[in-house]
Amino acid sequence: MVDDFLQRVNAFVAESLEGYKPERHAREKSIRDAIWGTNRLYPWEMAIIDSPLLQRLRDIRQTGLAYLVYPTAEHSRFDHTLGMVAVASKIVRSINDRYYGVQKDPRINYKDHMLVRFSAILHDVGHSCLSHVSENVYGGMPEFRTLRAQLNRLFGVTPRPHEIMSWLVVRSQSFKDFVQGLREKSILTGWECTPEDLDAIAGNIIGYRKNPAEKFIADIINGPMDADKLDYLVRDAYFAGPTVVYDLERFLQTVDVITYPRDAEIGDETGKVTRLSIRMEGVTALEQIIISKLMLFSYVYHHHKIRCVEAMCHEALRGLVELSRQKPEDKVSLWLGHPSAFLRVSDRTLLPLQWPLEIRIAGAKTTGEILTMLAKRELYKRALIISRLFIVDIDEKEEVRKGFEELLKCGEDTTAGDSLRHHVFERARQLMGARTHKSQTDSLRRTFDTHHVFLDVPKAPTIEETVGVMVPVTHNRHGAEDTFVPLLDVFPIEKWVDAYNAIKWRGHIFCLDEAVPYVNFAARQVLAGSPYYLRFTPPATTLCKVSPDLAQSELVF
Amino acid sequence: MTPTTVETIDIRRFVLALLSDVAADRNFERRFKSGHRDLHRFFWRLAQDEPTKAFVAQLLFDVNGNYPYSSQIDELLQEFQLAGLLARPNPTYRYNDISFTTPTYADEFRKGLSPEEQSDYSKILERFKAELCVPRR
Repeated sequence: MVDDFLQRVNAFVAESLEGYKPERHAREKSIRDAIWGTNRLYPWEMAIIDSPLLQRLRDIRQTGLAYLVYPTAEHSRFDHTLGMVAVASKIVRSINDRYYGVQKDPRINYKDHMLVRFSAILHDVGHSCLSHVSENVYGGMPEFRTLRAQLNRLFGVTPRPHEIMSWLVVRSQSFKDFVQGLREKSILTGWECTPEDLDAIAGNIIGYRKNPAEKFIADIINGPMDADKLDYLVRDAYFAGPTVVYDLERFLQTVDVITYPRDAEIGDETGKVTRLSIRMEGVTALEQIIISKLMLFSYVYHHHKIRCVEAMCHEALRGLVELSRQKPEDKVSLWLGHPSAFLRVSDRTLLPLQWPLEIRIAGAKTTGEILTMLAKRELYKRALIISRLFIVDIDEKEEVRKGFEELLKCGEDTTAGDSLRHHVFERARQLMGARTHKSQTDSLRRTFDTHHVFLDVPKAPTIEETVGVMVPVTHNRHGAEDTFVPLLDVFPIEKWVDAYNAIKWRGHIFCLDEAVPYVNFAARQVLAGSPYYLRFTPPATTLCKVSPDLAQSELVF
Repeated sequence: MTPTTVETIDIRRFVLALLSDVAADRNFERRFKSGHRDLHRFFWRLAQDEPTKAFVAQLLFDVNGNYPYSSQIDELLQEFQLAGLLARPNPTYRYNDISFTTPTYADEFRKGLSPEEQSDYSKILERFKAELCVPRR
């Protein structure tokens, strides 16, 4: 499976780089960034950044369709990539500063610094259209699940789908040849970047490092407190608009490289691992980062309208995958029959208005319809809000808690989710056909189908930022053994996450605007029955702006 | 009934069955330790042993840190917490209280297992109780 993917991705990389002349672009540049100011990029970095492989990231929005809700959230994966290079360099320099005067050689040497920067440049190269929206689609395809399981067996890591795609790009022969070309053309000078180094870069991207004593280098790129997070938190907030701040200076002053014991069962003979960590005096800065992330979930990532457009787009992409799998590549203009095909798609190839028509002609009517709606910003509306706060008797009755768990399962289990959605749709259609409504719903009933109802059950945020992080409680900088406590012991972040889930977490049922009252009523009926037994308080309906008369009056139906 | 094959053991149902059995056992308190390392290590060890690995076949572990970790376990426990099936009491957060008593999760889960798998499940349950649960005094 890995070889099959590598072959397909290699073909994509070769096509992308065909005819590209890096020597025309290879000169040092200073690039301004709204977040981090002016950043210097080296000639060999510019040769990669200006290549079509990286330039395609200009056309992939960092926060997917969030710009339909926050108009200025138009920043791209490209902007974020450059920002991450700046932050990764800041982390390296801060660590080296910490050891200045303590040891002769820098803690992270020049070559490793350059490899960290390369890794940052390439970390998102595998992203596809609308970032995480498409990732959730191809990541669920059976071939991709098998690939992920294989990589897990090989490297013991659990990367996200786009990280695996980036890993494939960097490991591809065409990319290795390209970097070899940079050396031959004397663009990459002053240090050596061998094919083995490229494998190490690919490893950094998925959070893997062969030597546990070097794990901290991968941590800068993909770890509990990586440069990726430090950039996207502040960048997403800045461009979307909400004010979210954290104390980066304090974080950088206290970030450190720390060696501590590792479980014998998973470790090597040294029994140790060296990781990026933070000293006790920086824990509050780390707390700020984590709380900022939770705030961004509330403001942006879990915003109901953003979840709605993402659910619509997810549905459209699923339709395109189905269509592509039924028809050969040359019969579908936007062929997505294999996960690697997503590398060829960016935002502008997905959303233009001519596609929906072609897609409809090709046989995916619903997909065409949804893409047309997205292009015109005609969005589905909330028909019901699912929140722990709005469920009657959840603290009193075990049956209700069990039912809520059944509902939450639908987020992961697409069969269960599709079945619930179909029940709601069927019930809503019956209601539309009832005698009292028949005349008003004639045209709606003719077009209404299952795809006009979406169930959205987002995953709750987890505590990945603190997993396995040990905090030194002593101040030994001269090689003496430190004493550590697990970060979770001094900062039980679960409390914040639990509070977020109890208060802020929301799932939704979305549907066509004109169907909202019917779907609201149908959803409440279906969810009141077996196996859910859920009854909702009025805000679950009224906050959806469904007319209170319709929401409360069972008589209407 | 056709015995459940190893591929079909659902991790969610399996974990709920374990919790349900602990909740029904009068010799143990209705709670289990929430220590991150111990919890993830327990499931990782199941994944290493031949008869028990089938129960956690859906889990992927990251073993590049200082202890094995599966984000799927965290996600599951978060969902159970959100549903109200688990609660972590203040101020220490050292335990997950099991907030349900129904034996249905365990009963339904067992029904789907072959006799050999049922025996393996019982052994896992004993391990879970011994390593992570609190005997009643």
